[in-house]
Amino acid sequence: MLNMFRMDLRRLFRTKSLYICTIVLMAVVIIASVAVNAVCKYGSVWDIQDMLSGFSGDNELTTEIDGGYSPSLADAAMLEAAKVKLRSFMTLQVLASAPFMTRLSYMLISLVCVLYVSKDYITAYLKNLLMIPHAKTKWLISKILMLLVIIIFMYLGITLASLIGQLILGNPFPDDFMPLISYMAKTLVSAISFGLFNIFMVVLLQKRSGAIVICLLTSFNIQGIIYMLIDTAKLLPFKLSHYGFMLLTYKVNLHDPLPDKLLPVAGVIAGLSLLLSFVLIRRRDLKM
Amino acid sequence: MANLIETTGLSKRYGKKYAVKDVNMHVEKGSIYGLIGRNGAGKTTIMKCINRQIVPTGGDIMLDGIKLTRQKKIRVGALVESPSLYEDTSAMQNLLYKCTALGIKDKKMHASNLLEMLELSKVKDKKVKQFSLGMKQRLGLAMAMVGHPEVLMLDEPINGMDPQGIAAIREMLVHVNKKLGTTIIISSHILDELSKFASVYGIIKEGELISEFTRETLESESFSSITIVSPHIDDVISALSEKTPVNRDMLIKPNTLLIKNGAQLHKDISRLLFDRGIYLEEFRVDHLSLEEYFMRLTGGGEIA
Repeated sequence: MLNMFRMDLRRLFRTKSLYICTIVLMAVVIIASVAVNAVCKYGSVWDIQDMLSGFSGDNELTTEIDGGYSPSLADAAMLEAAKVKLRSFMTLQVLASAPFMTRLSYMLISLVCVLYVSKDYITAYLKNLLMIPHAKTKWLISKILMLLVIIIFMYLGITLASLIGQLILGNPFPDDFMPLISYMAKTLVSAISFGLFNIFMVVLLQKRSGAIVICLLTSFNIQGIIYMLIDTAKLLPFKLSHYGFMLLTYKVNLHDPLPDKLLPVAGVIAGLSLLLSFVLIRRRDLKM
Repeated sequence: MANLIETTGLSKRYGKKYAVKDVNMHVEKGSIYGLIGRNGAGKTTIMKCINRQIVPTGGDIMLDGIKLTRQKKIRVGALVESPSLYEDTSAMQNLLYKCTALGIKDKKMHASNLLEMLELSKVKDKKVKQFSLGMKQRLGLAMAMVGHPEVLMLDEPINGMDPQGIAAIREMLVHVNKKLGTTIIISSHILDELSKFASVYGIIKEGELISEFTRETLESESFSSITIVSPHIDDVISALSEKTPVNRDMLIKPNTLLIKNGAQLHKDISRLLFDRGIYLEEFRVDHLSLEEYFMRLTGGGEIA
């Protein structure tokens, strides 16, 4: 098992998509930092207010500026105060939340995972490993561990980009990483569950293109439309959309605790994906 | 010798159609087993079942007396259908990945030796996507041989190779078989080539194993004809008519007799002619080729 893991680890760090997708995520954070910095330098109070509401998602912070502001009273001091407010608001965790708020991180993590896992199917390299006892099970466990490595790698990339963002904004080097860790832990639930679901899709379809399409569609929550239809038709005694995994994932934010239903829903998806993946890999023929 | 691989009633069904049905195959330890059959006969399906690539619908596969699913000691290296390689990676790297997965300690040395054995040392750092079909096939063979498996299963391994390459692979397989005692199961549509080194043959037709025979059996059962050339052909006919029905109609030239039936009596015939002191210019016993024998058993048709 350890040998299989070693092989996968060796190969993963030679996978271009891992670096490309991590760079994309980092770019989102850095571009956000540059944009904030530009607004701080050249923007008006209104621009700052828009940006704050965009990042925070609530009006509490913006009303603080709004409170003492009127266009007629606008002066340099007020603008300066707003700039300080915006810079101080742009903490490590706020910057790190940018790719999660845009839902890009879940999609890219799963995309890398699908590209990596499906490669053994499209090249049929998995055939070479079948001489190892319990090869298929070990292969799958190793791929699940790779999902965790991918997540850690990309999260580290986002953290690094956030630190760079702090430098761009001229903020002091953060001394408390706990809020960031706490936020990332919340997003981890969805990232792992979604990743496992996508591994299951690869094992089920044994095809890269199909798995990528499903990965993209589900990450954009296309299934939400189907839930809405089912709910409208009242086919179920409860509202399915209340349990939609992606909808719940979208509700994860910096300030609130994890949505109530997310943990059980993510758990069910992860558990079912794991169970079915193991059954399928052992019982089904490899179409290669 | 004990069977290293034995299948009992091995079957694989896709929907209602059987790809392989009730196959009882016996592969002796240390043998080179040639699997012969027409396109779609079921050779690859059998190999895939033994390679754990597909799950049989019925029957058992025993590997060294233990069920395939429980066997942990005997390793099967396989090149079934096309070679499975990471195309955007070098030949060396492809081998190193597998070496790592198998936990081979001196993996660089092991991979280098395999590349050298298959004459790929010069292109070891070249990406596989730049390889020719024959080179890929050789690398696929090297992949199958990583870790020196006890069983080597090769499905059309000489596809796309030039004549020198084919001869080199043949020599290499015989070497591996003799030196390391590797049991080899091989299918090829070049029966002439297969007949040069396989020790046992299995003929599969429409998913069923219709015959299993050794090289010795092939040699002893596949006499096709005796050609006798003598200036005293009438004396030959007269002497032989006591043993086997011969007449002048069997003359293909004025002094050449061709006996098609009763070729298995070649020893008796040569002794009789020798005892009678009849001078012979030529006495030749012809055998059926593996291909002709295959045709006879299967009723003709396209091979592999």
